[in-house]
Amino acid sequence: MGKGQERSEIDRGVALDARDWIVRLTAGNLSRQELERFRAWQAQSPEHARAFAREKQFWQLLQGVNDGNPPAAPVAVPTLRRPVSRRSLLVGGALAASAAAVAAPRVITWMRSDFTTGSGEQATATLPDGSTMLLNTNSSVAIDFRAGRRLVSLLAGEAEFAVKPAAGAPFSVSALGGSSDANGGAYAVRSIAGEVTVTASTGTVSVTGGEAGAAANMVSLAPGQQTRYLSGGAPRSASDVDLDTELAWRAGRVVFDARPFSSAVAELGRYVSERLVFTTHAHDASPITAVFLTRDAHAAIEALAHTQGLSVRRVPGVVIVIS
Amino acid sequence: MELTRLLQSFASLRPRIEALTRGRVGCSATAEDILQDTWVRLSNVRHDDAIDNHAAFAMRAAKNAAIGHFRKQQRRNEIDAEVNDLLWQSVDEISPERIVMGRDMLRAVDAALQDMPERSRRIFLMNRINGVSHREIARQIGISEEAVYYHIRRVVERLAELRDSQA
Repeated sequence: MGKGQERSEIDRGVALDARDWIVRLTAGNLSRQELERFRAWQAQSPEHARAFAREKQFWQLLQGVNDGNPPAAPVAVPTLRRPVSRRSLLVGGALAASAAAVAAPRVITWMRSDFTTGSGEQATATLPDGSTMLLNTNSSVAIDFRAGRRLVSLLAGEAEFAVKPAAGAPFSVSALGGSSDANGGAYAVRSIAGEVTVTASTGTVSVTGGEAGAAANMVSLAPGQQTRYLSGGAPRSASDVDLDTELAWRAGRVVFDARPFSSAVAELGRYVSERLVFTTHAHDASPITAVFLTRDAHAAIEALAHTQGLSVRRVPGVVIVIS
Repeated sequence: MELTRLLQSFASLRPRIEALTRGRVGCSATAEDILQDTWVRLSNVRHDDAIDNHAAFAMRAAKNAAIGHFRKQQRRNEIDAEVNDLLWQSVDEISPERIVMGRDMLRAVDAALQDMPERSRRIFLMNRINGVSHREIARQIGISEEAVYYHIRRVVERLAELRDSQA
């Protein structure tokens, strides 16, 4: 069914009314009478229902528009080694217990780290050498800047580093047994699900991993290039990427360019505190192309699931079940 | 205005009524509003000679006002839940692959937004992206709710035109 054909079936006056209703329904403080008037309007004919569905869908899609503001970060200056509150460890009840079981590795990571962000948070920090770091959601790093060293360990998540050139040691980010070094420029490193992705935005980055000393285990990235390696493995050869897509998170967005559904949902899942559980594999494999705002990740997950005819149930703070 | 005995009772009981109301609604700003309402209502009572126990009457009035507040809140929540379903339920009639907006379309929408008058764009984004109600936007910007509606409606119309021209 072509779009033009569908639209020609909707009278212009009805389409205008539908948009009026969208704006009224999203105003807040709608009265009961107005709501009933809307239902009566919508029920007049299938054309009215269709016109509303079309405008509603458009309104939903507008969630990806650029609000013209710089990204929500810096949200907060990360605190250095906050003590673990007793409250966060003393959890009771079956649900809380299962959540704790899932969260346990996170707690351990968090205790080792110097900087952390929670779900949906981003934060910037200036490192002791003057380099800056932008941490994405659910990320943890530990730093070692003693005796002229410039070592950053990415324990989990994703961060972009703007490196201040220095005469001494190169700036080095280690993750899952590999290391990404630069002396100047900016690059991003992410460590998700046992795989590390390194993306150079400006300047060159050398990425090493696997057996020490072997020449094949070093890859040099030019700006706009990316490499990946598995835990303890050697980096793959560099490939060109679209930086706007890869680093969209810096502006609080997630961009999917023909991404499989499950992978897209998993990516959005990084921005929510709940664990994602699929109780079905019935979704089709058609790839997703879309832009979402990370701060609206719950709505984005819901919208994505609906495209596959799946339903979403959420126990806030615990789990999101997609079935 | 001469204070009636009823209002005198209310005034002398005010700290207690306020504490009770705050306990009922769990919010001191709301409690303040409810007490204000109660005061207005009590001041409209004409024949307070007919009331035996002024203190009890004043207390009862505050309690009723708190209950009324809850009913209103509950109705509000019900309406909001229905509206939420209307706006966010999946759209069966439209095929799934079209529910996501491509990057080209998004860029065009962004560009069109940039071309809108600054105030219209700002109001639209406050509502659509930050979820601020028309009433609150009106309060913040210092214009009427009707004007807020007009600004948003104008942006929606422009973007819908753009969508239709690109389809």
